[in-house]
Amino acid sequence: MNVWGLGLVVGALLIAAAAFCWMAYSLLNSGIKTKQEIYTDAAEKDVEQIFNDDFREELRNRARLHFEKIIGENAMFLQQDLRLTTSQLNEYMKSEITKTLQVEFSKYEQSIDDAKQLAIASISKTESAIEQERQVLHDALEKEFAAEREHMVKRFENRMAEIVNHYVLDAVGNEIDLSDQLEYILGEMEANKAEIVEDIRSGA
Amino acid sequence: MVLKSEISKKIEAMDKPKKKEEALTLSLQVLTPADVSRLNREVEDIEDFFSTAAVRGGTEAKSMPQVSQFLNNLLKDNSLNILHKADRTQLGEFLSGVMKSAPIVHASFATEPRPEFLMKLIAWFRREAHPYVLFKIGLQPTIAAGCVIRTTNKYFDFSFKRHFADSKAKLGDALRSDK
Repeated sequence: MNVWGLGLVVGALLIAAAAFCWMAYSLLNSGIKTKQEIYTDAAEKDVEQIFNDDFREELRNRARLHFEKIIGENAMFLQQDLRLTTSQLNEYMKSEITKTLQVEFSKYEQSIDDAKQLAIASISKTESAIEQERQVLHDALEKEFAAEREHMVKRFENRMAEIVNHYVLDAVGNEIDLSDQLEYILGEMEANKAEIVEDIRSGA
Repeated sequence: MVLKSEISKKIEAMDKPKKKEEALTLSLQVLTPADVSRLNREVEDIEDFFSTAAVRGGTEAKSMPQVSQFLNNLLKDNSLNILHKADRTQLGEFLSGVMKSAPIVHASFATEPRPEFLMKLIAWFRREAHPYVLFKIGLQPTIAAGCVIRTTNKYFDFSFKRHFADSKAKLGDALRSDK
């Protein structure tokens, strides 16, 4: 007997065992009831006799009324709860919103204050810078004006004799008679007499 | 004979120079070298006239050149007679000498000065410095008033221009005090 023959035998045995088990299970499920099942069935029959349709209808009506009553009460409670909750929610929301708004407003106020301080600081810095710049410019301008004035005065001083001379010449140049100047000229010549005489005599 | 000797004495006296050259005075009207030159030329003309007359022997009638007022004054100031040869010679030599050696003073004015003014100025120079000082007159309108005198080596500014320049410090102080 080879392996194939052994296999066929084992297979035939397994098939026979399976068929036996199936037959036993079918017999158990089909006809024979237990005591428990018999009692249960009897109770069900009694129940069906006691709890007939009218009774059931009556019970159903009562249950419905009771249920409706409970539903109504619950609805009322629920409504009250809802109202309460709503009012509480409103209060809560109000307080929360107020709190949040206050916080936000305070933050906003703070940030506005900060911005204001920043702006004030910036403006004061700018003012200070402008003032410094103005001072520097003022000093520079003053220095330049002084230099220019000094320059003009010096220039005027350097050319003052010419300017005055020119002015005198224009104003009274034609009206000065030489005869009127004779005394002045002779006075000047007397003052320089020694030099004049010496130079003329040494040159003659 | 006596008359002849007197005449010859007179002629000798006329020909004899009255003064030495140095003793002659230059009249105040003679201001510039041009004046001296003109007088010299005038004297030379007269001298030429007399020379020509002597050469020709008086055969040709010719009038003597007219003596100018300047020369006339000069002759009067020095008591000279132009008809006398010696005086003419002396005057000619004097004028030539003045032309050569008189010190020249350059004087500049703002306007043309009048002769009277110049005479007063030159009187001072001739009194104080040298009797034969002559002027060379110039015009400098820029000096406004006063004058500028230039001698041989020096320059004297008596103008208002210099006066203003000297007073520059005063005006400068005044300007600064207005600050």
